[in-house]
Amino acid sequence: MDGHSWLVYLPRVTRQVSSLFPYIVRRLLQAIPLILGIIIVNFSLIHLAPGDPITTLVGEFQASPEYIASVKKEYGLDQPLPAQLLFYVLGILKGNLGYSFSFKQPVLSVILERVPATVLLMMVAITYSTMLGVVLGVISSKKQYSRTDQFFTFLSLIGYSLPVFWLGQILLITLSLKFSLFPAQGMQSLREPLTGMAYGLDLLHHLVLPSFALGLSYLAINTRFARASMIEVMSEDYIRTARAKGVSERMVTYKHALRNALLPLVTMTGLNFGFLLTGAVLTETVFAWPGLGRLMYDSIYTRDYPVLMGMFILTSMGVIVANLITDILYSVLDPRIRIG
Amino acid sequence: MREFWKKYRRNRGAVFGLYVVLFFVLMGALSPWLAPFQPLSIGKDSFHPPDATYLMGTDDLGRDLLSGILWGSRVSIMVGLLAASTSTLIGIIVGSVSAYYGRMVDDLLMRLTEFFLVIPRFFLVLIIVALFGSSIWNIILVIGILSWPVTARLVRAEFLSLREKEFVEAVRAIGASDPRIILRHMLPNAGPPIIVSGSLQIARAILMEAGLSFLGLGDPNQITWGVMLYNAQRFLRHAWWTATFPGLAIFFIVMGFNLVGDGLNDALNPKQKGKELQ
Repeated sequence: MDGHSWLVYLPRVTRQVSSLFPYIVRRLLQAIPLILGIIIVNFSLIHLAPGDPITTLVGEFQASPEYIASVKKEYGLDQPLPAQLLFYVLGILKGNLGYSFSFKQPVLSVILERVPATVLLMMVAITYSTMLGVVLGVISSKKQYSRTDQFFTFLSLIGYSLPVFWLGQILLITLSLKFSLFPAQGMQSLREPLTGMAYGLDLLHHLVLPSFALGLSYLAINTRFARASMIEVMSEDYIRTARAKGVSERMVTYKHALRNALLPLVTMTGLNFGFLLTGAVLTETVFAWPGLGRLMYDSIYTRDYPVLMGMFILTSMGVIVANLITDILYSVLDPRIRIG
Repeated sequence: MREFWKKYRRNRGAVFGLYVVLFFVLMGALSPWLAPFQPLSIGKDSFHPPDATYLMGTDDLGRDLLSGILWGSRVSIMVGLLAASTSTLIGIIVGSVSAYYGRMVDDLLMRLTEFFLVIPRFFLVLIIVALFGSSIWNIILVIGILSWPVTARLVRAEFLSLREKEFVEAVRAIGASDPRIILRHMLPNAGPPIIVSGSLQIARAILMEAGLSFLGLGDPNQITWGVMLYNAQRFLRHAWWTATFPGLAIFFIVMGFNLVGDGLNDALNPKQKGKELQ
């Protein structure tokens, strides 16, 4: 391909993007009731929980009467329920998720501070489990019912039956405590502050075990999924046509079949985002990874309800956004979807 | 039944899974007689490595791990069965009503189902248990109540195809009532996929309870494998056995139910063989 040939695609790309726009708007509008629903679920929990709503809004701490009075005013607790709901929804839409007593900070900033560490862990896990999963799935599908296929099927079974946190514990006991191959805790070495290249390598070294543990069950799911998807696509008419034309088996597999077989995997990744977050929370607890999981663990321990509720709201929104992105990505890759 | 067993037996993994599940059921049922010690009673030997007296060692309070694991299988199986039955029951109601009545009802219920499918379930379960208390009954109920969407979608899809069948048309023509049509005529025909998804729900519920307990929200009055792992987390450096054995138990029982689910799928839905299950 010469240097300018991509220009040929420009009109097509512009057309695609403009036809994409109404679809994106429609999907964004669909997300609004979901977000409202989540806020309402939270609101109901505050009022349904045993005890005073104020306990849920403050957490189980000894708060001063002035502080309690200010919280009451902020959430309009002296007003009828519908008005309170309005206060609550508007507050959250303005980014007010309450105040964390144990961290002496607004909940939003407590949580946002920890998002990058979790996202990093999740990205590494998603990337390796998807890429390796596709490779293993394709190999399995090419040799359906062979020894190799059965072996990978067996491995996947193990992969998605393992509790992610226990896998983490076992890796930690063996590879880091017994053989000292990997650091056991945290995200970086605390002994000497590192910079530049050394910092990056140190971070990678800390990442290996938690991201491996987190990704393993997704590797298993992706392998099975890619296998099933490949087998289905390979039996379609257009593949037979390609073969009849005399296209080589390699080309048929990797060019014609794989591209279509991978499409559903995009949606899968979006749908699995919530499960991956759950896994991340549990994995982080094992490795003292300074992300959302650690925060959740600490907040359960101190009964810091505002943080727990804020995490539910933000992770739900994260899942909605992840689904939105994968849907849009899917519609770019497969234009048929936009019409429906 | 003979026919079914013949088909089920063809999947060797499924037979193995069934044995694993039966093994844990027996362990749970016989735990009062099998357990060498009182599982919660505090002993003198803390952190005793596995040996002839304590086959799986003891924990920080000197409690025998083997006894804990034996008793723990009761809790795990109970959580799995009860939570999965609750969610399956809700799923059947929502799915069948949605498909049978269609239109507005269907639209409304399916939006609700999608909502519960999208939100990160574990986080919601966690908040509810944190707020309402972590008794084992609360945990079972919350997991059950929040795990129905997958079943609901499945039941709906089955019912939508059954609704058009002639035999349903025929019973309706005789004048059978709606509940009778749904319960007596449609539900039995939608049985196989529901049973399959139910057995997979059991595995999920067990994992979820373990995860909750691991984060410190387990029932403090019960011996559960998740709580054992929660306790072990602080002592990984000194006592590998405190984490190893309870985790192995969770792994095997979850694998057992997953294998049984796969096997049921192959035996009951031959058309779907090899397809991914939700």
